[in-house]
Amino acid sequence: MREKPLSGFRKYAGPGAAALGFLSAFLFFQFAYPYHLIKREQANLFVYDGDYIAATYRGMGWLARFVTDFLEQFFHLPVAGPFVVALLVTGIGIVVYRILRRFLGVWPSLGVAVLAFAWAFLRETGNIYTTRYTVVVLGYLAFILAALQFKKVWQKVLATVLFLAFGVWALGSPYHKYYGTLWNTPIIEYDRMIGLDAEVAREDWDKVLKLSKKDLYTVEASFCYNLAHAVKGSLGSTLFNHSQGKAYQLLPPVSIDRSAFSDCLAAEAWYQLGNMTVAEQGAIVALQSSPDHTGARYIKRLAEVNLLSGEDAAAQKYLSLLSRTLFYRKWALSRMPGRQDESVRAALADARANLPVTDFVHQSEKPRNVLLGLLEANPSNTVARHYLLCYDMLCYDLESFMKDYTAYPAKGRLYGEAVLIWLSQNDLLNEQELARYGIDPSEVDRMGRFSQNPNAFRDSYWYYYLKALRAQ
Amino acid sequence: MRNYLNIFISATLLMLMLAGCKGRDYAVAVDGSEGPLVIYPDYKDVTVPANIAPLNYRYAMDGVRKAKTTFTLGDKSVTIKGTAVEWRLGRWKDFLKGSEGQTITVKAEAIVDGKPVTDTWSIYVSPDPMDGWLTYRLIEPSYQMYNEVSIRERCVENFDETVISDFQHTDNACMNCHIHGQQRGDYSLYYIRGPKGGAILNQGGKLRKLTLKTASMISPTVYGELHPDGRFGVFSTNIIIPSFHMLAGERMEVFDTASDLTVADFEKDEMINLPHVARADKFETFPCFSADGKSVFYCVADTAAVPAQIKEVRYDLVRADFDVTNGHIGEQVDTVWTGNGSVCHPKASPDGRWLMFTVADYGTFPLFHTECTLYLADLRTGEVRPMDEIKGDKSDSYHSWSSSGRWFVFASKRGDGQYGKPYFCHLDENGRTTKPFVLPQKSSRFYVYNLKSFNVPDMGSAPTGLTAKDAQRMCGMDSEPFEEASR
Repeated sequence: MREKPLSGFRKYAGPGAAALGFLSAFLFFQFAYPYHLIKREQANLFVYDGDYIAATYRGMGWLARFVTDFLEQFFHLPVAGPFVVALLVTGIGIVVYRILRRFLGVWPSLGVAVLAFAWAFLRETGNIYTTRYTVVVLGYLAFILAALQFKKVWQKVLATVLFLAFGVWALGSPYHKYYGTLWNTPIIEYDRMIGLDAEVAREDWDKVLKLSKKDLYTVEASFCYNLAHAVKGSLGSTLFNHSQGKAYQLLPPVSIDRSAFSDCLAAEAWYQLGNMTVAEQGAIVALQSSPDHTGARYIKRLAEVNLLSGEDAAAQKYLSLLSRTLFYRKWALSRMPGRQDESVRAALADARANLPVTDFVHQSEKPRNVLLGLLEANPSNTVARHYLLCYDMLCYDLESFMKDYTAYPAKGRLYGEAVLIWLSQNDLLNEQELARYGIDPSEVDRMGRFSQNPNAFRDSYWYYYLKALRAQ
Repeated sequence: MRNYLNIFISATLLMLMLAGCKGRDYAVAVDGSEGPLVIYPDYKDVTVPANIAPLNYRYAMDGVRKAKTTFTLGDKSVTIKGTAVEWRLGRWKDFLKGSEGQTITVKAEAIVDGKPVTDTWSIYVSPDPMDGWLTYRLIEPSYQMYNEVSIRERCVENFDETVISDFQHTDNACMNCHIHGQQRGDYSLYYIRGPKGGAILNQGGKLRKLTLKTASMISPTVYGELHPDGRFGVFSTNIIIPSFHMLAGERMEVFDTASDLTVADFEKDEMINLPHVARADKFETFPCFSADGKSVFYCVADTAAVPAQIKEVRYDLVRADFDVTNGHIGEQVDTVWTGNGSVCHPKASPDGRWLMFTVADYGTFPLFHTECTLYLADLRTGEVRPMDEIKGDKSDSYHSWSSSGRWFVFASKRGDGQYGKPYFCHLDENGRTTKPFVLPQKSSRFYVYNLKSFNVPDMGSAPTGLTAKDAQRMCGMDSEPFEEASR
């Protein structure tokens, strides 16, 4: 059945709905759900090499995987990512409309097309495989539409069979358990959470602090907030600006008992500290959880870890892969062993100053010895200082805290508060001791005011310590 | 208008595709050959069996172009143009026909940085045949996490690879490595872990799923080997803890907090647990049978407070009698090797002449120990020597024998230090080795892009015939329980 020419309002209903759909999808992914697509790009790698492409994109569904990986490499770009996704989901609506118009009127066709668009749009807010599924659906719909272009019935049937056979080979199954549930709804909190992860990886600490504020009650946001302050050197004053969890949540281990997301996040802190073995393991775990085990972000981190570790051959392997990508090529080539310029060499040398010099074996779940090992190698490792002192404080281990604070003092109101508790517990609250630890005598008065009204000092270590004492 | 739009979109996509195609020359070799023309994988001056797959490689140097390589064997000559030297399988097989005991001469010419460069080397084709199948597990070098792992079988005579077990057919279960019994294709074992898992025993092509664990054992069976007679398997049971080194580059350490030996009787469905190989003051692990099945070799160390004292844990290599009538490991123990190092992975050659094992400075997980070296014991003379001549710059660890005893394969992290690759090596009747060569791949760039370790490469003289569907079927079956044997 041929489409009849439309007139009046009906003529613009289809294009208008398409424009509106495209715009709403674009604006949603651009402004309301900005990190969702960035995470996808991090878990994806598109390598511009014939051998790689031939080896990677073969078997059933090769074309869908190829097209999706190609498109997802743009997903970290602010406008391009939302543009591509909006184009794909609107494309589903348009193709559905064009198919149905051969059999139905404008409004029923438009109604179903809007539903198809809404379904594809909401599915795109789901897990990491959803764009591949959108491509598969769009591909099959396009084949059906193409088959319908033929005039005779037998031609249509033959074309449909041929196109579907090609579709099965090139696009794969229209359903796969990896494609997730039939229906998704956006979770804005989840987007903020993966945003935190993305900004930690970008080392944009101000943005990390801004993003974490709404979710500080969660372990992940609290961890990122603490990490940002540790890197900025302010953790000693901000640790109790929100309620802290257990001590191990300050610097969590990379272990089999945690999710790949949590391990990856934890590994960022270990990387900032200078512990490359745990950082590398976190990157490998995250790599394993990416769709084809080739996430660009994690390969980049593996390259960084191995460059710092002096494992040039391993670094070269990762850099070689990244040097054939569109967006990591320049970075990879600038860091390729033997090609680094003075500024890259200087940056690597600075970072290497934090690497440990004494070896022992640990499981990362009790970080005190590890932090001491890092400070032994570089006493001016401020991130390690803050983590060590805060870890002692969260463990209520004031004896260790005093030992560590004496060896590795750091600036921070909370550290002074911990010292005052220890001094008062040991009957040493005198001017001489206060001077020894550089504590202003007015702090003693403040502690006195705390004892009268603890609730007015919720951001103090005293409050945290008192709560723990009462809990005992 | 629509046509212009299509042209614009197509041109944009094409430009984006081409944008990443610059600089293909940056793939410098991580473990390339020596000589004026660097090749990777390094197949210069190697000894290979006549049944090996094409030795595909590439010229792994910046600025190399107009490469031309001529292979000459007797009156046959083949020239391949280009920096990627990749053979068609049929052409390679024709070229190697009747080549046993002969030497292939390779002459290469190329322009490097605008200057002509030539290089020549040889490839010796050994008259000793090598087993044609190799099984391995493909896994990221994590060793504490797993996701989407698989066990595969590769025909080393071509590039065919079969999946024996994979995540798709086992609900993403972890699986441990496949071992052949006496290099036989129809006698082998591997593990599928998790609630639907078990030890999958292949006996003459018939598959059984076994629970090789009784209440008195500290864990299900882990490392082990199958007895030549087919009735028994000797295994270790281990409490395995993964951990990290402090020093960057040292990566992971995996240690046991307890380990014992046990014997599985596949006829009686019994586990034979004897106290003298399950001592509380000893770690016993990595057992294997002698070629005649009358002895068991295993590694033993004094227990220690690990991980604090991990660097003091050194395993000796010992031998005990094995009673083939009842599956008992003898109490009398002879020391095969003890020294300033720690032994792992002993494996007896099928001809009974040799015992090969790895020696690291300490511990029971040599995969990231760069000092880890293969050792060879002559069981006829008792002489033991480190095989320094084949040692790579990173760890050389798990190995297995070809059924002729003249070839072995070992996992080596040489080069990038991260990803284990199977290297083959020839051994003559006097214990002399030749330069190892890596498992050939269809693409000369395979190892550049590969991000998985080849774990536990194990050679077989015939295909196992196992498929992922078998693994799926096994997951759906009940596991056969094993009872504790009465002593």
